Amino acid sequence: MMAKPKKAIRMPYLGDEVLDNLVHMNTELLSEFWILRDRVTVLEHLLEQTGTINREELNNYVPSDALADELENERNAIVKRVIGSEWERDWSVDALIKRAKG
Amino acid sequence: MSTTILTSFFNRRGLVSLSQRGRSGLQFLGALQGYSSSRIRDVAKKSFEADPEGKKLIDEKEKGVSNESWPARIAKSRAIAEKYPAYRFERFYQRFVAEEVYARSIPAIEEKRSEAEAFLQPPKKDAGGSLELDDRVVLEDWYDGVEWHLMPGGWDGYDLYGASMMAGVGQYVFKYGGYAAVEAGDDIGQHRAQVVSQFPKKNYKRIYEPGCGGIPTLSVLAHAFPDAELVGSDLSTSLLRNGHIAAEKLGIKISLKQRDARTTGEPDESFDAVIMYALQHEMPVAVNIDVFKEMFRILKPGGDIVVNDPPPFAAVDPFQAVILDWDTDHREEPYFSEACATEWSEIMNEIGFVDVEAYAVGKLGYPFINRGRKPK
Repeated sequence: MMAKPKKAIRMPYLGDEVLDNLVHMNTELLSEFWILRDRVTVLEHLLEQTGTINREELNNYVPSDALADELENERNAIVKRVIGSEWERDWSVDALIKRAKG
Repeated sequence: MSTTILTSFFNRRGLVSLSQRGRSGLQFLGALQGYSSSRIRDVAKKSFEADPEGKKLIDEKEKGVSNESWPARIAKSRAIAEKYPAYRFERFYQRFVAEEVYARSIPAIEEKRSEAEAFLQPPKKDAGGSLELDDRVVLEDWYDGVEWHLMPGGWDGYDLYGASMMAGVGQYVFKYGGYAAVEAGDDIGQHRAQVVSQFPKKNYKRIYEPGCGGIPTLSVLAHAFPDAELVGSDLSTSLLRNGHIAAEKLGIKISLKQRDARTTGEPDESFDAVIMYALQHEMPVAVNIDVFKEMFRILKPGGDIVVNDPPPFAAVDPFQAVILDWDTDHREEPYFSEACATEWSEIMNEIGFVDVEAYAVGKLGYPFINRGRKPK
């Protein structure tokens, strides 16, 4: 009777386990990004089919002042959260409350 | 009819449409694997070829001057490949996709369980095929418990594996190739048609396929040899069940039997042809030899055998040998390396097959054919 074979191994492919974990997270994020982008594209398609939006109009849309401000704030916030993650570490209660208020 | 056509057929018949997340998450894996196994692997290969030690190993291989064992030669080649980031990243992504295929496809099909179960009911009007399950078939240690391809629980570990393959994994991930011996951009459905076309005769009365799984190859045979009687066997209950339902819905009459391919129970000299498709690397060499003997026994004198499996290490360059060998330890393919270290043509000759030929029909050596004939 032949013996049971050994199970598959999972080694650090990129040098060490921490690096593997980081790239794993990065790849998952890319996947989530794609899933979201796929959804937005499907959404646009469905909205266009029902006549709610026109994709050409969407592409050429110039945000009004209020919307432009809203987008600018969101853009700055996301840059601060992601790029500034290393430099925005302030765990004081005041800082965290301020973060909640945007 | 290729696997792709098989999948399209089931989708047209309303098998299951995955949710947006299920579909796009699997499609992402197809795109990642496609890019990684073409562009990044190409950079890795060029780095290997430019490395002085790599060049030496390529030269030794071309001149056939190495007396070392395959494991020793591959260990040397792997050490060179691992010096370069592209190889490491490519293998990382290969593993990522191999795991995520199941981590994503199981929840995706589970969301649609009722639809999948409804579709997997036998059709009202059948094709006249049969399914014989046999609980006396013993699953030996070399097979039992193996989670082939990192598939949780193995072939019989989840009841909707067949449905998830047809509804998503096949068309969104595997269709694009770029894993194991399959080159990036290659469609395994087209491979099957290529392999079936290696049969030298235009007609066969009875064709046998051991390890037939969910009938992807038998469905191609049915298209190529519409008048042939088809018989397939496998150890897996769920693969056979899915295969039977697929055959009946496709209108293809196939007899499916749960059998150990070493003891099929078929009469001596009862088949005109045998095909084995991607089966050899799923069994230890000792089991393979017994399967080849059994196929020789059930073939009629003058009957043909066509075998497709990943190429022997001897037929590929040192870098590709590292790629093939990797599956053994990292994709739970415990017999991949020992199969690639074996020349099936030599074993076929020893058993008594004649006119034995071994040749590649794909660029990187896959599909790799061994074919022969039982003497008259």
